[in-house]
Amino acid sequence: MNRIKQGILLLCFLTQMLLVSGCEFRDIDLRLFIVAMGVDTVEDNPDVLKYTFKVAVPMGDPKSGEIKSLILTQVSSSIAKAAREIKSKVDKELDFGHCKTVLFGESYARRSIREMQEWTVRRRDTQLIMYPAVAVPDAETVLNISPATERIAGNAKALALSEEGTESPYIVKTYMFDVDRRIRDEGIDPFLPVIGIVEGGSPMLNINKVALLDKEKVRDILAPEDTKIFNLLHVRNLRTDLETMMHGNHYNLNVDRSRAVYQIITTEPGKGEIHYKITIGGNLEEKDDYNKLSHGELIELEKSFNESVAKDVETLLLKIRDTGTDPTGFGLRYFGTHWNNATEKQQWKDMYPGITFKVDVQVDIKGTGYSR
Amino acid sequence: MSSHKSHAQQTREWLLKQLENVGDKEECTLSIGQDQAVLIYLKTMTDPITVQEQLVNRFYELNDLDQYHNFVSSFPSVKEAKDQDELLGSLLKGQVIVCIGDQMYMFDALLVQGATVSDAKTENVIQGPTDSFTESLDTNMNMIRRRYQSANLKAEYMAIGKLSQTRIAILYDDLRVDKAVLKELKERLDNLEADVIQSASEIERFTMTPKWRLFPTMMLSERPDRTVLNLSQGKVVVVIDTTGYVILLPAIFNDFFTAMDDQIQLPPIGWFLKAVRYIGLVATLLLPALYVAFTSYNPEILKMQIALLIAGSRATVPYPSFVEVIFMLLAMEFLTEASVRLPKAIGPTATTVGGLILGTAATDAGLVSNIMIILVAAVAITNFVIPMSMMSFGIRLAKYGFIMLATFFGLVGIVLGIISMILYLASLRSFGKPYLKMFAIRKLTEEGK
Repeated sequence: MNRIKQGILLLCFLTQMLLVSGCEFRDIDLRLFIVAMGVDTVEDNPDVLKYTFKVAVPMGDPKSGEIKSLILTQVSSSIAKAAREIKSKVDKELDFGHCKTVLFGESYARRSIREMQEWTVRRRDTQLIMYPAVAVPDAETVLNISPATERIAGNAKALALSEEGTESPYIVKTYMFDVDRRIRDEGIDPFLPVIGIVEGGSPMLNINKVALLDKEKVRDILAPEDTKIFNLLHVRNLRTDLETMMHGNHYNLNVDRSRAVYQIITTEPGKGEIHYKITIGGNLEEKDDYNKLSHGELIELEKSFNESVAKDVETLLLKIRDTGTDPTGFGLRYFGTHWNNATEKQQWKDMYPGITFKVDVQVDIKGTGYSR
Repeated sequence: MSSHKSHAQQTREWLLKQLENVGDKEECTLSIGQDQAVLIYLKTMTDPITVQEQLVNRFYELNDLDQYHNFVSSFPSVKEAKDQDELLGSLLKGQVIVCIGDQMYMFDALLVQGATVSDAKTENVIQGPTDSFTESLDTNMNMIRRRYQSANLKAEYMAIGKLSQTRIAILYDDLRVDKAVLKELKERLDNLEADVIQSASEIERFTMTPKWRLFPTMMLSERPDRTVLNLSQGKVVVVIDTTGYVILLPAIFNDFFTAMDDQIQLPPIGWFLKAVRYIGLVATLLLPALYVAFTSYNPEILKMQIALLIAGSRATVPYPSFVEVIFMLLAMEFLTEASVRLPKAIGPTATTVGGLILGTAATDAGLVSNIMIILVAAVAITNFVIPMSMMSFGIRLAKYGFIMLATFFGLVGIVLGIISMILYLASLRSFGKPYLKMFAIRKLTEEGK
């Protein structure tokens, strides 16, 4: 019985300790959630950078639909320092736990994304599933944009980049941990989506390009149409449209099934060829002439699609090859399939700039919609 | 003739052998000089007045065996037994076996105690019998025997409590019961040191080890159908005079999440209902603790929307999250306790007023966040999903442990709590049977066989 009494006494003491928690115990209402952050170069001083943080202000009434956010900027020599400096400008504890988007201003990304990227991966309370992106013209401008459809501060960018919301073939999806892996691995390079803004009218974001990085700096930014083809190569069952011309008429296909596989073939020592096999299934969505399609014409149309997609893909692959980057990871595949630790990397280095592509596309039009 | 007579005697001996250990069996010999008549019956199943007036009194009034013989056989419902099994069957149905010379008659004196039996109060079912045990041991025995007509159902009577001398009966199916469990139960009852025993839960408390437990290892039930089902599964039933509950043992964790509805409904629905109860268990145990952990330690686990919503609705709350949770949960416990104690007429009024004040006024005043109200309501409702009230009370207490852990260690504390609870449950034994052995009912039956 004595032990029980002791236990009860201990429990009483513990309960009393709850009341003296003091200010170390920080509840959710004493925290400020940073939902997005960005980094830009400063024009006249190459030693410092401008860091921008978007802070969500908690909703008072969820039904009002009113959103409040706060933009904090800090010019500093390092991000770690900037995060501390920004703390003295706010009344509550800053929490990076909900930071979903990291934007690299274009000029910063063309220099090197390494410093900021390293910090986000290394820091304890930032999540590895953040969505990184390149911001055009700069991160601060993009962070300041709040589209009319945004219901939670800073959520629009995260929704679009994560494809939880809109699912556009022009948006490439990547995570911070993946960027980190691509930077560290040999034979594969990171890529980032590019967030632009719509000039004039109501504030709006436009994410329709992809930036190819040479490990840490942007080498090239692909045009929207190239970005779509880029996605076709990297995403399985991409929901997109494809266009072709036949007998002077436009035809558009709604793709609901797609798959791209490739094989690296060494044709002769030092020379290689990459064989791409792309299978696409979909329904006809739009056609210029309103005549009925015959079965023969449909087969002809599929052929036309095969050729035009193959041409687009080959052009894009050559373009990417010429930038010297390797976002698909051809190199990694080559290392994996050519087992020679001493020479494989050098072999690939010599081979890649002159590599050729053979693209085989098979489009299967499953239906023509309501009318033939 | 002598061999014929011995045949009747043989039958009687066989009958008595079958009824060995059946404590409510009655055998009474009526004799006038050399002539003898023997009555065999189960006293819990027969009407004592009928037996006394029609069979015993008449015997002495007539004062002649032949006349008595004629008298007995003249009843329209009285039949002569064809064989032993019919004899035993009718005995268990509540008939009196009258042995006169070499004849054996079955005399109908069934006692039906319908009037005093009331509806089940704590273990309601939707479809199925609604009667529940009464405070009378004999009535309860009658209700069980009527549902379990087998000579294998043995009843052993005892008296416990130094002062109260409460009558109890230990019931079991001789073929299915685990003898080790039975032996242990008898030992524990023999060693019981209590002055007064007034309820089933007292026996539960005095016989179980360790004494300090959060979860019950014996089941209390007020339902005859559950009792009979458990008897057929090889469990032991202790029926206690003066209480409307019987003890079923051994009981494992899963038993407390079984309602009689599971047997009545179609199998998929039964499984669904059981799954709902386990989800309810997890919800009522963890929801308040998770609220503390999420708002104070790990808000990054929540979705952005919810995090901002909680932060917004907590903006006016002047104290930390755990105070808020404990305050609201205590208020809810007060309400639950009040509605149990209050007279039935004012009970609903009190809960409505309390609920209204706690629910609306506290949030309007900004003392409690909106999310908290939803949470408390969910916790209160899910707690009542657990069908056996003893278990539901244990869970009610256990959730405070989880809140404490969450307050000190956050999400890690909750994980710690879950692990230690599983370890604790696994360490418990109910009469030597592992407590956390899930879905063990069928296995138990097989072992019993």
